This record gives sequence, C-alpha cells and structure tokens, in this order.
Amino acid sequence: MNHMNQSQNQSPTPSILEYEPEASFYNELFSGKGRVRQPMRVLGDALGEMGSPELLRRQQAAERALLRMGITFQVYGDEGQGERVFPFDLIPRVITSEEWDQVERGLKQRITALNLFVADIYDEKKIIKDGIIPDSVVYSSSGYLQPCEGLKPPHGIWCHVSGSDLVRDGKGDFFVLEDNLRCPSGVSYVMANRLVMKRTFPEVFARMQVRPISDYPEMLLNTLRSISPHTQGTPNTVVLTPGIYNSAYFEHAFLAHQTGAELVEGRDLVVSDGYVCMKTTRGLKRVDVIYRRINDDYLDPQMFHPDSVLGVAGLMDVFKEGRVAIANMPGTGVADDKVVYAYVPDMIKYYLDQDPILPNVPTYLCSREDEKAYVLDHLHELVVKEADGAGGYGMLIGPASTKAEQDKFAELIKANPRGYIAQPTLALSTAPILTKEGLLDGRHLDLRPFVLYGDDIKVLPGGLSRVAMRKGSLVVNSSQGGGSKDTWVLCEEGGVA
Amino acid sequence: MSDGTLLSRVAESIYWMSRYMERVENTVRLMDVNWHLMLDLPQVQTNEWESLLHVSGDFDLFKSAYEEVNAENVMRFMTFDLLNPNSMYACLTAARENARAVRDVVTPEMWELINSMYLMVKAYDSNARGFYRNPFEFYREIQDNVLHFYGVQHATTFRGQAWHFNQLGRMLERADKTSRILDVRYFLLLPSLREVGTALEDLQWAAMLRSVSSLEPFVKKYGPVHARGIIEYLLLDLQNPRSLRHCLKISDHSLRDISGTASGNHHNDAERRLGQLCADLNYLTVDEIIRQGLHECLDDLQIRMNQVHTAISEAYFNPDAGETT
Repeated sequence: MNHMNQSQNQSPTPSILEYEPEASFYNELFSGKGRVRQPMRVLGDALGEMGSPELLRRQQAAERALLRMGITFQVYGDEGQGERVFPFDLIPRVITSEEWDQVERGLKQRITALNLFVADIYDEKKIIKDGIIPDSVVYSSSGYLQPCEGLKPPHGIWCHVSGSDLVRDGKGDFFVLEDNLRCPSGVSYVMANRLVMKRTFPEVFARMQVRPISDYPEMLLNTLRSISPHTQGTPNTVVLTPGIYNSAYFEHAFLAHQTGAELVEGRDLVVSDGYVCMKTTRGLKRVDVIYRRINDDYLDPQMFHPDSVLGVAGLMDVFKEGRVAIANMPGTGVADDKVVYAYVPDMIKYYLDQDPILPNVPTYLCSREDEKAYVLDHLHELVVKEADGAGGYGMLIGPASTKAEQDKFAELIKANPRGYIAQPTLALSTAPILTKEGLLDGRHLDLRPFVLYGDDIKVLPGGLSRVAMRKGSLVVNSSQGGGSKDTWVLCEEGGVA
Repeated sequence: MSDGTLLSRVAESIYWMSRYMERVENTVRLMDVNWHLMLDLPQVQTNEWESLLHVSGDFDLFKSAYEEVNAENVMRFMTFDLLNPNSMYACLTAARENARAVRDVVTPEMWELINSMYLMVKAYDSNARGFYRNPFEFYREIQDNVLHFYGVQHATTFRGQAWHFNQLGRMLERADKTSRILDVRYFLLLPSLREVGTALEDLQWAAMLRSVSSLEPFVKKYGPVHARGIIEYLLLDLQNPRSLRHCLKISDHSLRDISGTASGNHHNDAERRLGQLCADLNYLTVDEIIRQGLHECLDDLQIRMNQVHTAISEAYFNPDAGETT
C-alpha cells in the first residue's frame, strides 16, 4: 500500500513528500521523487499526514522550547549580543541499524588506534622508528606538546571523550572527515534536540523504534570515575569550564548538571598540599577527576601557557604524582592535525593489523612536493584546509571560490606547505529540511558521533547531525550559520512499533 | 556537592541572583504603585516620581542623562535603561547572568523562568507610546513572573546551602529596600507628620504600604493608616514578611544553617553582626526610634546591614584558601 498516494488523495494540495531530491547527491530520506526510503516509511507517512501548516507550527514550538531552555552558543567576533540560538530543523535524520553497525565498529577501531598512537608518540615512538609516519609530521603538529613526553595516564587511555566528524558521499558510504580528540562539543545539543523532538513529535517518535540516548550522562560519569587515582570512596569529579562567555558554556553546565559533577572554573581550583582542591563554603575539598573543557595550553600556566588565568597552576605536577586524573589528557591534539589524519589508516594497520572499517577522505599533503604541485594546479576543484584549523575557518572551497581567493591560498600554501592539506570536493549527502514555506528541501550535512573510552569503548547511538542551513552550502559549522537535526538510529529495519 | 556544600563562587552567584530578583520585584512594584497613585492625586506631583529616584539612590545618575523629572522619563530610567544599574532590566540581566553561571545548581524550571522573563523584556518595545500611558499590564506580568519564580524555587530547591544563600540574598535585599522606602517617604511627609493626616497624605502613606504589598494586612491589624503604626509595622512586626525584623530573622536562620552554628554562638563575623542586629530589633520600641529620629535610626540599620553583607562576602565568597580544611 502506498501511504503517500493515499494522503495525496485525501488532500487537494500536493503532499509535501512530492519533492525531488537532487540526483547528484545521496539523499538520506528519499530514494527518488516522492519515494521515502523503505526503513523510514513510518516517518514519511507521518510527515505527509501532517502537511505544511502542522509541521511549521511544530517547528515554531520546537524553536520556542530551545530558546526558553537557553540552548545558545557564543559567536566570537560578534558585536553586541553574541548569544545565539543553535538553529534546529524538525525533520530527523534517520540512520538504519545496519548502517550504524558499520559506523560503530569503525569508530571503535579508529579510536583504539588513535589512542595507541598518542600513547606511543609521548613514549617509545615506535611508529616513527618503524618509518610509518615521519617524525617531522608529528613534531610539527600544533597539538604536539613536548611537556607531555613521558606522561602515563591511568590504564594508558589518553582520549576519553572523542568525536570524529563523518560524511557520506554520493553513494551513501561513510567517510571520516576529521578527528576531534581534544574537547569535541555538541553532545548537549544532541540531548536537547532529542528532548524537544519528544515534546513536539511524540506520535512519530512512538511509532519508530529509535535507540535511546538518555544514558549518555551516566556513561560519561562512569568513564570519568573509572580513571580516578583514588580507590577509596566516591571520586570527586568536576567539569572545568572557561566560564559563561565560552561558546560551549551551555554544554559544560548541562553535562555538570546531568552527571552531578561540580562545574568549576580555574579560579575555583587551587593546588594545596600536593592535591588539586576546590574552594568551597566549607574550605578546600580534594578533586579526583577533572573533565576539562578548556584547551591544552591553558590547563596549567606553570607547564604550558604562562599567561593563562583559565587553568590551575601546578595541576600537571599533581597529575605526574598520580593524585588527579584529567580527561582528555593534554597532548591528544597531536592527532587532530589534518596531516596526521592522513596517516590514520596506516596507524590502524600498524597497531591493530586491520583494514580501516571507515575510510578517510583522500587527502593531498602540501608538504609533499608532487602533491603540492597537484593541489596548486587544481585549487578550483579542491577543498583546501589549514592543518590545524577548526570550526570552518580558514578554508578554501575551490568550486565556490574566486580567482583572487585561489591566488591567496596559493601564496599561503607556498609559504607554509606543512600548514595545508587539500581534499576533493565531496558530493556530501543531503537530507531534507523544513523550509520557511513549509516545504522539504535538501541541505548538506555531516555527523559527529561521540565516543567514550574508559573501561571499554562506548559509542552514543547517532550523534550531532550538523546541517548547512543555506542551500548548496557545504559548511555545516555552527559558527558559520549551520544548524542541527535530531539523529535517529533505528533498532531494526522497518522500525514499526 | 552531595553534602550540600557549595563552591564559593557558586554561593556568591546564588546570593546575587536572589538579590537581583528581589530588586526586580521591588522596582516594578514601586513603579506600579506610583503610577496608580498619580491617577488619584489632584495635580501633577513630580516629586512623587523624584522620590522614587531617591529610594534607589539614583537621582544624580538620572539627572546626568535626562532633562526633566517626569513620569515617562522616570519609568523609562527605572524600567528599561541599562545605563542605570538598578533598572529592572539591568537587574534582570544581572540575575540571569548569575543564574547562567550556576546553571548546574539552578533547576531547569527556574532557569527557564528567568530566561523567559529576560527574553520577554528584551523583546519589549520600550519606545511604544502606549506603554507610558498604561504600564500596568507589563508591570503585573513581571510581578507574576517573579512570584512564579519564587513559587518554583520554594517548591523545588533542595534545602542545602544553595537554598540558604538564596534566602540570605533575598531577605537582606528586601530588608534594605523596605528601610529605604520608609526613609524616603518619611522624609517627604515629614513636614506634616501628625497623628491624623490630610486626605492627600493618607493617600501617600497608603501608596507606600501598597508598594511593600502591605496595605490590607496593615489596616486589619492597626486600623487607619498612621505614622507610628507604619514604623512599627515595617520595622518591628515579626508577622509582616517584609519587615526588617522578619527579614533579618530569616537571614539569621539561614546564616546559621550554612555553618551549623547554634543560636547564641557565632563562628564568624557575619554571624556575630547579624545576631547582634536581630537582638537589637527584638527589643527596640517605636518610642525609642522616634526619640532617636527615624532617619538616623534607618541610617544606622542600613550601615549595619551593609556590614553584614561585607562579612558574609569575607566568610564565604572570598575565603582565605588555607584557612579551613
């Protein structure tokens, strides 16, 4: 039975499902004009039954709820009010059980190898000695921190919370676009989006078997507690934030609230008698585990950035004495570098003797003469990125660029070849959003899943689907006007409850 | 923390969040009552608006930014003007910033209420001519929101230190505002202070009681409005939830709950000063106040309340790191 045609017959106006996805991209919800993919039929039917006015009304209700909840982020460089609501689109992005199975296995494999790499780099450096990755690449990564040499985190785990950004190509295959091993943010938006979706779309939700995500705070707390250096009593766990003006402050407060950890700023902490302590109304109290959401080089002004007022003087000395645990460890950013990224498939082979389950996007390293020459000849068709860039800043998107912009990047690359990589412009997958007119229209999107590494490795089902809200745009970062969608991972194909 | 203890910074933010919310409510109430009073008065009495500026101590700041003391200017200055740190909008912004800094201890419902209020005021068109002709609905909505906030807070807050710092902030602010309102009104009405006032003075005294939401209970207990009764009611009456004695008594309880110190003892300067102040108010009479002079008496009380505030800051918000264990 064709539900879509049925709803069309009932209504004099054409169904909003009569939408034609662009043929050149993989559309995550539609396989063709008016054809919703089989496992997502239940969602498609519900959208068709609701129609434009009802969907628009629910979209507005969802936006109001997010505004009331204060789910905002700070945009740097904005004049005046820098506090913005993260744009949210009502139409969920659905991932089937089978697709997710591959993603989950791939992420576990990748984080295992990356963690072994970081541990190796700050210790024996076998991967360099065996000639798999050149030392010049490792030591020139801006995330490499010499003071971390010889550090031994509990259980050998450096990357407790990570999130690699995934994209899908024209065929719908998943690729890893970049790794985030420092302080990946966004998981609070995942939780908030789900909460709002449950309030605004209860009946659809009830009819699809969507994997729950509500236990993330508990998983996070267990991961953090598992690295406590003190076995007696309940570990005192804190979330260390730069404060309310940080772009991700909402998330820091949210995670503290949800896990019951104390939300602290650097000025709340002090090193006293060889321990990290927090200043309370009843004096100093020992801290066992710090989930830090401030950058590596601000953690301890004695060890890293001497001018920092965000961190805690002497923190790293306490760590070396084994009296406090830090998640993530400083120094993990060495693997966020986009040149190091290009070597991750080799790391997986080297440390695990496996083939990557999730492939990398093909990457040209401008530090290699032949690849640099290719990049300079093909700037108009490649995406060029700074090796240590993030947040969608410092990019050249070749096909959308002017000659002047290409010339500027050519100069930048020639001046600092190590600082740039290039990738083919991907035909990023699209998913329909609800436009202001109440119609469906495709937008490019990516996916940031969240991975926890404690006693074992856990992957949150789904993650943050970031959407370029502007038609045709390939930049999904929130700082560049991107929005988000709730991400539904189905329990089984079909998903009819 | 599981034992209800707080980070010093968090304790300070909760204290200020509550002070600012109380200030929002008091400011709005004053504006609303004054606006109603003006409708009853025979001619334009600009000193009624001017007196409001004296209550918050912002007269000089006002004069630096506005030419004329009139209803619209004073309402704008006291309601929306961010240049004035005591305006309702400025206080609401400050309350929200403090709440944001402690979102992990503020319940989501409380946060949503503060945030919704803030967004409502932020979006409000303060230039709409209609507002100054009839501000009643706006002021009522703000008051309702604050009371809603108090209700949710009362019903959902865990009674640990967070609750008591919140009580301290609110009650010290309320005591301060009550004393200021009494001081300014008394000063204005002083020349004609009699046992039986004129009809005009009665209106003004009644308006003052309304501005501390106390008219009906006052009349029930003391009969027709008169100065001695008002002094007793606003300063010494333990049953009046806005009297100094009541507010300071609640503050004293909370301060002692924070440290676990029994009544009659003290383990820091804040407890000693607040305990002394409460004891003095317990045994003070209206006759003594009038003998000393109401203004001098209120001045003394305000200085001592400020000293309590400073002592609380020193004991809890900026403690010497090595002092306790």
